[in-house]
Amino acid sequence: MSPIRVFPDTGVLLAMIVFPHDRTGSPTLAGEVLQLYDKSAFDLVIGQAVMDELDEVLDERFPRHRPRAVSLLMPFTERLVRWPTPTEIAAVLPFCSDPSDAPIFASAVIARPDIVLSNDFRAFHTPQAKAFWKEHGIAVESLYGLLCVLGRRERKGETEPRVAGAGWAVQPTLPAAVGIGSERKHEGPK
Amino acid sequence: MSVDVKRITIRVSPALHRQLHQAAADRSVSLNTLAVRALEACVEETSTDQEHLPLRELSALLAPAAEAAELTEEELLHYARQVRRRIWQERYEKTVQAFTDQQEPG
Repeated sequence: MSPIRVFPDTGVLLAMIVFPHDRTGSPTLAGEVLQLYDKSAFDLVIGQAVMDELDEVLDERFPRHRPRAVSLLMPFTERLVRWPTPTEIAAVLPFCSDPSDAPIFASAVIARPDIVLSNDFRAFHTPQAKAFWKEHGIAVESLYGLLCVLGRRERKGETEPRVAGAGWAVQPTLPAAVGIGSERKHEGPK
Repeated sequence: MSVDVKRITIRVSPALHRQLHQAAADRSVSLNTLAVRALEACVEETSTDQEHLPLRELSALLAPAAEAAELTEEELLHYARQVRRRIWQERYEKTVQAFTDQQEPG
């Protein structure tokens, strides 16, 4: 059976690479997901649009290490999912709370993964975004959610109704795009 | 000293057989050596295709750098969001808007 194909948003990819451990040395959720990737528990499919963002972040925040990082990624550039066209981006715009997410949404549709992985709850887990992923036959999961899918966590209170407008009850308090650290180890309905 | 080798037999067309002989002669190697090199290259290419993205290597490179710079996850993700908005404005916004305008009736 083919492994699950996962399309990561740039934020979770950065978290897996840069923050696999917390300050005590314990693995973060991103670190646990990275461990599972090492064990081939799932496949990653990366969009060129995601790689563009990763490269910009490397250039600005890790300029000394960027050349080595680029050389590590170079052999994989042919496997990246192509950039979306303006038509494809325009088609997903109504489902994006922030238009700048549209190229990533469109890339994910092109990639046809089983799961889109993002901890950006205000962008990827909104009701309209969830309806969008569902329409395209793609599940959207957080890092914690992926660990549940892979049998490493349990979705506590899964039978309880979720809060409208958010994936989990804790999420309305999370700032946009800053969910990963906050989610660490304790995601789930309270 | 004996070398442990396995023997395989492959069937090729006369035309390819001639071409292979010529290619081996051009490289001053035996037909066997030429075939072994081609097969090794094929195996290497296949195994590269199956390799995972080098996230662990990237992590070994960047996680200590982030720690040394006292960069927090929140700061990095906030910056990544800024990068996304900048890329949208610089590369996509105008072309997508132009496309959308074209599609609108009238």
